[in-house]
Amino acid sequence: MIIPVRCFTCGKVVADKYEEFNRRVQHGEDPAEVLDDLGLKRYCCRRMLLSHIDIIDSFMAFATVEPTEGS
Amino acid sequence: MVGERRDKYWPVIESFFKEYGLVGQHLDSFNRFIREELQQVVDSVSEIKPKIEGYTVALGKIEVHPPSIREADGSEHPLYPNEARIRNLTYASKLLLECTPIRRDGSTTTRLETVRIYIGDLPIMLRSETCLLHGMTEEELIKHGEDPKDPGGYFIINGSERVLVTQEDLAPNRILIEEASKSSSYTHIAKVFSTSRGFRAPVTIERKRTGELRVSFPSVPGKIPLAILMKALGLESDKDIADVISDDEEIRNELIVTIEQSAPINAPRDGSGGSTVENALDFIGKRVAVGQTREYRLARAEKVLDRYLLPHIGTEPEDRLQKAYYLGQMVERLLELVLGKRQPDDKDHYANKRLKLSGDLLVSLFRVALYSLTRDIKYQLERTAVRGRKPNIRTAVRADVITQRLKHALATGNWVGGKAGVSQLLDRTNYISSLSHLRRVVSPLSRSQPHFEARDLHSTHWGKVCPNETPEGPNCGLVKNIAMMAYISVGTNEDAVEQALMQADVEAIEARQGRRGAKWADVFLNGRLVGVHAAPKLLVRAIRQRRRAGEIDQEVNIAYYEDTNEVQVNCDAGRVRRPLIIVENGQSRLTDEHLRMIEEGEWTFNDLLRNGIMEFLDAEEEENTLIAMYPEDIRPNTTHLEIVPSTILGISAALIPFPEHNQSPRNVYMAGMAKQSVGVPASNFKFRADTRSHFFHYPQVPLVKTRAMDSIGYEERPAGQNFIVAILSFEGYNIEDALILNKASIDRGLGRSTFCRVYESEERKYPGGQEDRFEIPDRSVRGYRASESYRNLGEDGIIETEVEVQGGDVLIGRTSPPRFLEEYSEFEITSPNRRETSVAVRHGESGVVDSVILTETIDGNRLVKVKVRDLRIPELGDKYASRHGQKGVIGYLAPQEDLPFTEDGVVPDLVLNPHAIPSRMTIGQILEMIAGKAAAMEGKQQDATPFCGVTEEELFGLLKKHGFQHTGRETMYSGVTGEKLKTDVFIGCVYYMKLHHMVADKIHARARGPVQILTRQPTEGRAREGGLRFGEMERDVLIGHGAAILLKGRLLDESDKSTMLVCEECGLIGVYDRNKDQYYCPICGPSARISSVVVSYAFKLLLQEMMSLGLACRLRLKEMI
Amino acid sequence: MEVRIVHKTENEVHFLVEGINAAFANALRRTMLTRLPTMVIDEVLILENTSVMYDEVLAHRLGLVPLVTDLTSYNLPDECDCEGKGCSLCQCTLTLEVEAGDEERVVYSRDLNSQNPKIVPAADNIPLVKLAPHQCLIIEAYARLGTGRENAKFQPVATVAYKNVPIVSVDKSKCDMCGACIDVCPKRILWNDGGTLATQNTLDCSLCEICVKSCEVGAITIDYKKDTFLFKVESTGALPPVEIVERAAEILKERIQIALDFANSL
Repeated sequence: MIIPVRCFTCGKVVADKYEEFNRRVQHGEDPAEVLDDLGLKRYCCRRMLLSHIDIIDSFMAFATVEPTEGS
Repeated sequence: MVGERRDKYWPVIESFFKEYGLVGQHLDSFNRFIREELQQVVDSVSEIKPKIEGYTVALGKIEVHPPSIREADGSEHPLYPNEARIRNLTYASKLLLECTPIRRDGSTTTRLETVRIYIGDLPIMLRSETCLLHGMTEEELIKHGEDPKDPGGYFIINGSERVLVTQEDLAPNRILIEEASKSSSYTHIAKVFSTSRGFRAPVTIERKRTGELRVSFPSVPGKIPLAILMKALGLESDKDIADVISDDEEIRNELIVTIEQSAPINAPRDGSGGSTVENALDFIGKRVAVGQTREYRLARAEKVLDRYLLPHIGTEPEDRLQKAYYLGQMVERLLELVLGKRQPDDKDHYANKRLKLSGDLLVSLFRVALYSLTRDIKYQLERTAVRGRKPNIRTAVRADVITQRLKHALATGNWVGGKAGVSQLLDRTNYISSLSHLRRVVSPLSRSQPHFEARDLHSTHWGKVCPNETPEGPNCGLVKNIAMMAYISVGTNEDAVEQALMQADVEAIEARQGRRGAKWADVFLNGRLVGVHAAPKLLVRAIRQRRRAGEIDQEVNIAYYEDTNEVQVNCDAGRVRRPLIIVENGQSRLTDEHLRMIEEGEWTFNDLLRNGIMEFLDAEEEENTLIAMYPEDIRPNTTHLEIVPSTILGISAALIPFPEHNQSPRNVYMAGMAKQSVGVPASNFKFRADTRSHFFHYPQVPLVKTRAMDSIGYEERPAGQNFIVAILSFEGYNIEDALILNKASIDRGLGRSTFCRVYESEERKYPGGQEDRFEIPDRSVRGYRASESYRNLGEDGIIETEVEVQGGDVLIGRTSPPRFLEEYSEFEITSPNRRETSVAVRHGESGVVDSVILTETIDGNRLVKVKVRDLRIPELGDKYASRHGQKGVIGYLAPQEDLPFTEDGVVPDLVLNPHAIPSRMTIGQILEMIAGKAAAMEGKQQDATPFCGVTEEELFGLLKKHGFQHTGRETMYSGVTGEKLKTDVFIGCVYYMKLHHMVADKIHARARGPVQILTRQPTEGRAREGGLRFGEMERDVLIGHGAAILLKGRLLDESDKSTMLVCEECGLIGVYDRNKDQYYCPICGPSARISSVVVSYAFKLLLQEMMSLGLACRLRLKEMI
Repeated sequence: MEVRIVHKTENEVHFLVEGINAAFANALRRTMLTRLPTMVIDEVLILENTSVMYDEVLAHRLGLVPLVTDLTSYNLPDECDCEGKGCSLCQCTLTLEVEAGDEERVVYSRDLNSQNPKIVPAADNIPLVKLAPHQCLIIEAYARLGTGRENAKFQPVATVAYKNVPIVSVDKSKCDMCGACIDVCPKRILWNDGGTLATQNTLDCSLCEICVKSCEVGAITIDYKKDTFLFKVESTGALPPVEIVERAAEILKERIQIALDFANSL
């Protein structure tokens, strides 16, 4: 759905770093370096950002339209 | 790096999917049905001839309109799929047929005005050309409530999504020769399923031990000697027959017995007794028209030969010689087998199989529907004519006939020809399960018989059928799934191909009077013998060249069998084909330049086909090829090159990382479990009303992926999470495949999902003006529940959203009129008692009301759908599985502080028992753990595509680079004692899926509860709040222990204990008269001594049932002490 | 017992403790994880939520937002005079009222309005939910103190771990400088110092002993100090890491005292 607030495994807050991570990776930075920069050293926290997918966006696309047409 | 090179051609695969999509076979098949076959079926009927003098109706063009719906108030508007789903409608189009009544008055025929008549509704496949969604952009799709990633390829019938499952069948019109088993009456058999326009006529030729040959075909009882049949078909002399069969002396010798059999019917030399042909026909006529005149017999025999013998060759008298030539061919093959000159045919060879797609299935269904419509029209017209009115075609057509026929077959799966289960409810567990369902192929063979060969993986399945994705158990190998790059032919015009063959110097069989000759190669087109050719290799090469040049349709496949000297040309529908790169003179035609053009989107996949760089091959043509696996394997005689070998897998198996490192059954298990994993079924999830659905809260993209996932779109609809897994025993809570999960991880949201169930109810109208009503039922209503059940209902009788509900709580309050009208006339003036027919939350379930949909059905009835959602936090007993067939249930939720930790503070999310690995040999999982860890550290997904993914060495290097042992093991410290663990622990990152079997849906216990009315024993099953059976074996235990009281308690006191009155005199059942407060025996009268006896109610029932049979079962009572 | 801080940042502290055994080190670790209370949203009243996210998911996310904890002004609900009913001494109310305009809007943790200006989210930009145009949220949330024993969200630490302090010794007489051990060590502890095998950053050694296995002679021995531990404590932001350790030590002391008192009373 949306980035989990914390790393499932260790409890470190990761959600606040996702937007920066995403932005920087999109600008072509090496994800590993961005993760190091953001202080995510453990592989448990790193996988949280690396493997996340914002499904909420595809749901929200529907939020603005009426589900059915017709009557 | 090896990986780079081996999957070099992936862009080609991606362009393939861009062109064909994931369910392209269904869409293309349906489109062809709409565009051509629908009209063909109409043309085959062409005219309705009612028994009215001088009146016929010619059928013209059929038209398919865009899907629409006619409301109860008569208004009409276009129908979009999601409206159909929500309102329980059928997504269908109107069919309009041009009808021209023709009047014949003596010699003058007048064509009256052509009218376009609405003849019924045709369900429309989603995303086909006729579908309103066709060609829409993503935004438009979303606007119409559709998931842009939904593949389509299914139908919506009464609001439920239905798939027409592809049916595998033996190829029609192909001769199959077989050796018979020892016990049968014949030694060898040649069989052909001649099929034309949906009519299937099997023809068999058997060779008896005596050497005689007998033919059987439909509508003729028994078997006919071959020679007589040949003569009936017009081959008068014995020499002709032998010539048509073979010019090989050995084979001709075999024919002696057969030919002698026909001697009695030969025309005598003196000319008396009719011609040979007539005699032969009469021989058949005597079987089909017993006791009729000779003229009638002859006519009947001719009709039978034209209609029922090999109808695929033709159904006109001119085709009889052709049929004789075809039979000759069959006999030659059969005798070659007898003489050991040829091998028996392989039934399981995929060249001998055809797949029937939704289009083909609909053709046969529509044909039957149209027949019954024409019959109905005929009947209606005749009826009006009998009444002396002018027949009017417009009023004679009842659109219901076709609509109901089609809808009923699609809704129930009962197809014409007695096939059941053809249409199935689309599996919406997750994205993969839907896709896999749309690519499923079922074989009609029965599940109960072994059929080992049919279930086995055949070498011709390579690249066509997934070797791993098949269910376990009775359907194993009978239900299959097509491989990623497999594509099913839709069929092209046969005549054009025949012409091309003739141009390539094929000598027509008619021109040679059926004499084929051993030196000449027989040429078959779609199983029909069309001619012979002197230089088959040249022919085959020429045809292939013309196909690659685009001069003949690319759907044509041609193969030359050297051993039997025959050429098979196919252009029919239902062949599974796969694309390959053409190699010529040891050189792949696909150059790096082409690859670049594909990658940059300059070229599409079709450009590759058009330019003769790639071609589709079917199983037959593949027999003539030498296919190199990788470019470096190309030899001078190589003809083709695989694109990427890992495309032999199907959708589901393609998700497995490192499958080539696993034991094969594990991949099979995984392919099955991927379809049970909880994920994101569709992005319009909130606007769907599936009865049951699951939604995973934080799905993650796998860190260890395969390239196929990109093409499938798995990463947009994932169904799992990357768990940190340690392989370790932990207090024994993970023995026998149990899993230990970190409680803290679950607290932080790991593995959470939501389960949704939709309840629905409709305000039905009944004859007599009565209606159902949505309301809070009144206390006086029959079947009124406890009043607190209704507490959350709104004024309109429908529940409010975001209300917490539990089992038994009413969601939709509804009352119905009484079932029988007598009910309220029986007693004085009781008000018409309405019945309570509310819909309540299922027993044992609970949740929160998510949404309420209030809409209207096609009949204008109000329809309510209530979605109840339930948060599912992982708990003891929930099922999880990795992608390697390693499934398990949670055995313990360990507190984080108790679990071992590494020096960095990493604690496993999941502790897997080491015993899960060695016997199952899922090395893929071990590699995934290492690769997952490496991927997380490297910040990049690791590629685990079969045969071309990362290697162990690369992974080891990555781990070392990031300061880990290359083995993937780490030093850990016990969370309980704080000591360093004596040995290193293997820890890594594995993608785990949550499977939809959850304890919350299965947990069940009962103290007291409902009983069956008949036996008064506890009900059975969780849904009925049933008891847990104390069975025979459990009973044995108590007997063994001598625990008599406990036994009695279980079987009597806690079950159907009851008391029964017994007359001590006669031993029959006594009666208590409550009015007189008197016990009496129906036999012995009131003076009898009546005792009350404790028995099982089922026993009392037994006694009474036996009494009803006229048996007197007497109980002899005695004092216990 | 001697404590030496090796590394300290805002949210992290690494320190060496000498003179304790594994049991004590672990007790301290476990106390930090489970006994030290922090303040976190525990009850959520959703008045309006038109977003695509389910109420329970949103509530769960709110619960995971670490709040800067003031341990002195709040009581644990069990120990509060109100007997856990919830009063201003054991509860802090936060509200969240957001409505998206014509644009999509991400709701962050900073949008939470706290009743007590001291109790605020430790991180400002945690995305809680995304709102599509015109969707809105009205939420009242109640934060309270709790311990990690109840739910992982109350843990003050993102991780707490320790390791034994390694002793890497090389028997130079047995070493033939084959270099296998240098190659194999993932932490690069061993290196070739001009022809002799030398060690560096031995504190990094993870005691994996892979070098020992690579060398047949047994020239390298890896041992660890039994009484020294290197702790790594990382805070979620609720409390400063040093305070976490100090408070945990106090709690541990109290609990030991209770145990002792009980033992003495027998």
